[in-house]
Amino acid sequence: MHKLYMGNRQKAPGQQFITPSSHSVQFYEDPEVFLEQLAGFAGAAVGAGGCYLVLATAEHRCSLQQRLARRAIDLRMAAAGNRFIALDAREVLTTFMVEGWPNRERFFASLEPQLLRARSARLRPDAPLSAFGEMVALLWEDGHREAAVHLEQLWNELLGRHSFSLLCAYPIACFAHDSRDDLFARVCREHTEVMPTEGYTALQSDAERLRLVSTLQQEAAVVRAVVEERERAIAQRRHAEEKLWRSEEFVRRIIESGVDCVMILDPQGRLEYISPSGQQALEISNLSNFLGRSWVEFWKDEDRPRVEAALAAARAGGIGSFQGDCSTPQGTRKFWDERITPVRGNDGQVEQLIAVARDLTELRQAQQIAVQAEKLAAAGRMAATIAHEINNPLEAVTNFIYLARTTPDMPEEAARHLEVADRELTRVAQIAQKTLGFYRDTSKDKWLHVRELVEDVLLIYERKMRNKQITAEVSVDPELRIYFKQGELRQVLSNLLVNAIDACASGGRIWLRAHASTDWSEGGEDGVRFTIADNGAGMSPEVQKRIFVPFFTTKANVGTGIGLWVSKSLLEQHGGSLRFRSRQGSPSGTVMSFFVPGNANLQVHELPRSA
Amino acid sequence: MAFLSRLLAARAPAREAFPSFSDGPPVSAVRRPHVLVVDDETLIADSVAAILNRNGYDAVARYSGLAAIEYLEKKRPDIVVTDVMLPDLDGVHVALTVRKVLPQTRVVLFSGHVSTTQLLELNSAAANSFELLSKPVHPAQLLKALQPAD
Repeated sequence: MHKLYMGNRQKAPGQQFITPSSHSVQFYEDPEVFLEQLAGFAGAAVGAGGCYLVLATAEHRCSLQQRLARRAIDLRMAAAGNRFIALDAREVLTTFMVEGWPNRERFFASLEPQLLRARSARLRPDAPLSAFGEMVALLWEDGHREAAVHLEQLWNELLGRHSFSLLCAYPIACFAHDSRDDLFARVCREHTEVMPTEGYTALQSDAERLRLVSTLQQEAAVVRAVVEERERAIAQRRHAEEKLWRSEEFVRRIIESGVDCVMILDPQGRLEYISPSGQQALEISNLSNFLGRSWVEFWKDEDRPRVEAALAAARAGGIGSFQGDCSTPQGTRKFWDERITPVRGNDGQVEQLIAVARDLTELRQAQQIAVQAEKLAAAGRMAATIAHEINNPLEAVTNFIYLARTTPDMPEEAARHLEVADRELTRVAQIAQKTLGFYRDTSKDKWLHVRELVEDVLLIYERKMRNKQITAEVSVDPELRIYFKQGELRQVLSNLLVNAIDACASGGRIWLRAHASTDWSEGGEDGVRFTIADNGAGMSPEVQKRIFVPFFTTKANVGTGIGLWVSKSLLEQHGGSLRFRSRQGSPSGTVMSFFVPGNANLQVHELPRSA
Repeated sequence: MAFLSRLLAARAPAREAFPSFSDGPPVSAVRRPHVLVVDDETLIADSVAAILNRNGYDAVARYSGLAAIEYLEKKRPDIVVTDVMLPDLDGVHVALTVRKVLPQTRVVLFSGHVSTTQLLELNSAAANSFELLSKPVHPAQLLKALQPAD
């Protein structure tokens, strides 16, 4: 507990310094008033034959000296006799501060000699020895407040060793911002006497003192309430700001991490924003070229009425949606599912439109592929049905032709005709079996005679090749076998052969080869490599780039555009691969080469090379 | 139709398939292998029977599974040639019946249908393997298939 210091002016000037050791603190508002008071103390001490040690700023020292001079104190003589020692507070601080903290040894080394010097300079042994210091105030003002408190403790230690009275002073404004910690209280606790600022020292009576204390208490209560209110408001605002920031961040992350293309349009339909994923999807590298432009313009003419309708719906406060084609600036055709929603301002007016577009290109392609696959499957089912329906009449006709041929006494010419009919019918039967039986047994792997398989496929297209006078050279070891799905391998071979035939001009040539091989790209897997080469026209680089793209075809009237894509997919599904080389000019041609891993590699090699 | 019935009725001399031997029994005494042909397509059943009759067999045609079973109970054919897809009993059932009641009789199945292969796989698992020809079968192929294995 500290009692309020009341009216040291009323005490006899020398009296307070006679007490063995005292450590007082003076808070002040106006340095002028304080310095005047200090001049009084110093003048009294010096006048009484004592010594005054001042550790102050240059400004305060100067002011103090002027004030002492006005009090007719002969400072020059006092200083010469070491009875008035004025030191620069900041300079002394530097003698013992180490890394922002008062060093105990250095403190004593710096100040104890000064004190001893002052003590021995007194005119009489009972003359006062006093000191004034504002190093703590400097530390405090510099923000080293813990260091200031520690320095007060060091002073107390020095006061224990030597009997003198010490006065510290802080401008009260130093503590204006100190509301959260108890440092002010700790500063007070380090002192034997606490003197309030000048407004509270010149009190006449206890009644006045109590009134003043009450007033102060009331003011403090008001201030505390205001501060608390303000802190609550600040906390609330911080909370709200954080919430807002989080929600903005959340929305931003959703928009930026989504795959959808998010655009913001003004009510007139001009682009204001495109999300990063949107820019990527639209292949936009320079966004500024697009901002401010009318969004409708990006759509194809035939889609524009639907775009306008969707915009109108969103402007009217509803949700507009449509699907349409919109090519990227790079020319990639994409198919989008658009959804436009309005953003309203506080007044309820539509301020912006948000257009979220989902790229359905791949989905639509997949759907088209699925439709195509379903068509193929349907074709397969139909083929099986047709095969069954055709085989019976074929059987019957074959039988009757046989019977007619073997009828005794058949005229020779008729017999010859029947023989041709029988041969042709045999071909029909074979072709029906090969083509319509195409979709059979695709489900299981089995050992396949590669040569037979190749010949089967050639048989299907024999007529086609004959009509174009194409010759095929086959080079397949008759013993070569592979463990694979027959239907699929036959389909791949057919697809590639048809392409080769279509590529050939009349009189062209096709080479079909198959040999046991090792695919080193896949860690040395054994299997069979098939090569189908033609001396046809070859493919342009543009075509070469796209041949594996589904529904890409150069044969718009007859092709489905999925042959190569299906072949590649089938092979890759089983760990195989399909690649090609093609050139135009002279000589021209295309070589398609695919590798089929033979699950049981050893057998491929163990088979005898030739019969 | 007259042409058809003439075609079906005409018979080739038996010696084409079974040449007689001078020291053997007389030609008329050689028993021609008795064949039952079963197919719901009457044209096929009849024409196959006709072809067989012309090539040294004694063939009879039936047009349903039940009719075939009924025939089996009275006669004992040496060979049964049956389509797999029949409207009442399927050919495999006929074949299994033959295997049970006439273990010495050869059974040849022929079919134009996809699932036959699977059906036969089932049967071969049950140690009931039958010969299979897939439609259309050229008569020359059929005759070759019916020749005794030796």
